[in-house]
Amino acid sequence: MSYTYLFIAGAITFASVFAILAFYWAAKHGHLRDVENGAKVIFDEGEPIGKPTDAFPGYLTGSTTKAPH
Amino acid sequence: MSSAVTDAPSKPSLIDSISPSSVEPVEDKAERAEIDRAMRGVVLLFYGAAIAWLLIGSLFALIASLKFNIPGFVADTAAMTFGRIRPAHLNAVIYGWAAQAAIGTGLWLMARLCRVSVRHGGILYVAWALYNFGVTLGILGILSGAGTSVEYLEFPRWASVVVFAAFALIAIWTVIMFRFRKPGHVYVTQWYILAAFFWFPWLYATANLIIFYLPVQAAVQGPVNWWFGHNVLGLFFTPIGVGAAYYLIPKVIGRPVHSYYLSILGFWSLAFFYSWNGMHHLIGGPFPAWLISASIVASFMMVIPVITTGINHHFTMKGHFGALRWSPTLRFTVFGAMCYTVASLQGSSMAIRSWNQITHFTHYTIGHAHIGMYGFFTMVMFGAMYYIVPRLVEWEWPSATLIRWHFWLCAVGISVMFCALSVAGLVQGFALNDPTIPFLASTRFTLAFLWMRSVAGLMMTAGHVVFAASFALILLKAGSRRQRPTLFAAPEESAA
Repeated sequence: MSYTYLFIAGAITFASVFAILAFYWAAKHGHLRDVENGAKVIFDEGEPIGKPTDAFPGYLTGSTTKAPH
Repeated sequence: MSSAVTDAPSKPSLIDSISPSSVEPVEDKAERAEIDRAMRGVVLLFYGAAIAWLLIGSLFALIASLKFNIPGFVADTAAMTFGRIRPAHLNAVIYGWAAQAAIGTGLWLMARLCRVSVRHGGILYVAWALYNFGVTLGILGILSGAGTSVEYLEFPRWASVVVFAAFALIAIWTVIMFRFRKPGHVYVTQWYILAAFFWFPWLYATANLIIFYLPVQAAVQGPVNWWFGHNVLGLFFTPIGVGAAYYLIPKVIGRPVHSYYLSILGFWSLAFFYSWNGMHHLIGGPFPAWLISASIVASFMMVIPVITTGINHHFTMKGHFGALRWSPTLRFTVFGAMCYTVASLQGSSMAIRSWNQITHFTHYTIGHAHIGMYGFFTMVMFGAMYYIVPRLVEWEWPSATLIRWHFWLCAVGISVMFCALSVAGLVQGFALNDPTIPFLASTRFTLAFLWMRSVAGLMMTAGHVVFAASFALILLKAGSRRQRPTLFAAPEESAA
């Protein structure tokens, strides 16, 4: 019975410490700064902002003119 | 345009990657197409297996569902009895379909966002084989009567240990990739995936350990079970689904996330609040009141990350809802993201004690489970697959018609199922709480709604068959190659 409490207390401590460390690491390495540019990292020269990158087959290249339902 | 990797470094050994003293390579960034190609085999394997399990799980679901209205349906075969077929359905769709779709998507996103050459892909092939072996063993174990009767952990021990080993390999690979990623900003999706792949092995190991191997007292097993069950949803599937949506929606419409700050807030509030929720599955049970109350409070605190995510997705999409007409990925992903908000807010409401008194042990809960795991997670995974598979296979989906059928069959199916089960559950719940109404009457009220559930399930299964057909066709590179699909131009051509 007693080891259960120890286990739970240990798990909560471990989780909290880990979370705090992760958050601290993020803060220290600047991941929580400059949020505007953070959002743009998924774009590059090949797939820039403003260019859609998915469509029904044939739609973007004009081989179908109607938008599918 | 030549590849950015001029002097390809020799492949790092596994020891190099794990050793704490290894340094990050300086010039190892890779082209997007190169990364996609490196991930092709393993992601397609996970997706293929996931779709196969989806079909199997759907079949089990139909059998289970029909039994409610036709009690004698395949009742003579031990393996098809409800006590076995229902957990077989649950485990096939959770571990067979959903987890593998999550893994495939998570691995691809991780590779893309790390933006370096993929390392040690071999580990993932081993993980795939082990994982499917484990799940197959588990399902066969359940069907043969060796199931454990602990919800979400019905796999016999000899199967769950294999599943765990496979997942541990995946987690190790993820950490290695992250360690040697291209320096720079860590996009929010990566946080979600890293967290999900870290949390799941921990959850799985702990729950299995203290329920089956070093069992805690019976009364404590309930809370452990639901700590596990709820956290699998919220700390594994939700992060992968939400993380995928945070990547897919901006990429498809070509517009960055509305408020990146909010997405960070959403991630951290999910991480801090979610794991307290589990006890809301046990409201009214023989557990300490503080445990239950804490879970109810946490269930309401969840409104913070949910509304945050909802606002973010909505304002990112604002002005671009027209894109739903021409992007399959967006249709599925946005439908899924909306269901996420609905399911989560519904879940918070269900945690209120007086509300729970009506809905607990009724079909309402099942409706909620499905709008969450199917309406949200499965639909987002379909969206992810529609985006990712063409990039792996370097071919377009062969048929817009098949995609449309897939979407509408599944979207209408889950909506019908959700409405039917919600109404059935409420009627059932009010009747159960009324001592003047006999128990049998409360069950009879639900029969018509359960027929609707079976019909909805049939529609969804049909949608899955259509999707499986699409998947098979694109793997076989069926259909004429469209003229210059701009999405899939090789790096040399994109200079034009």
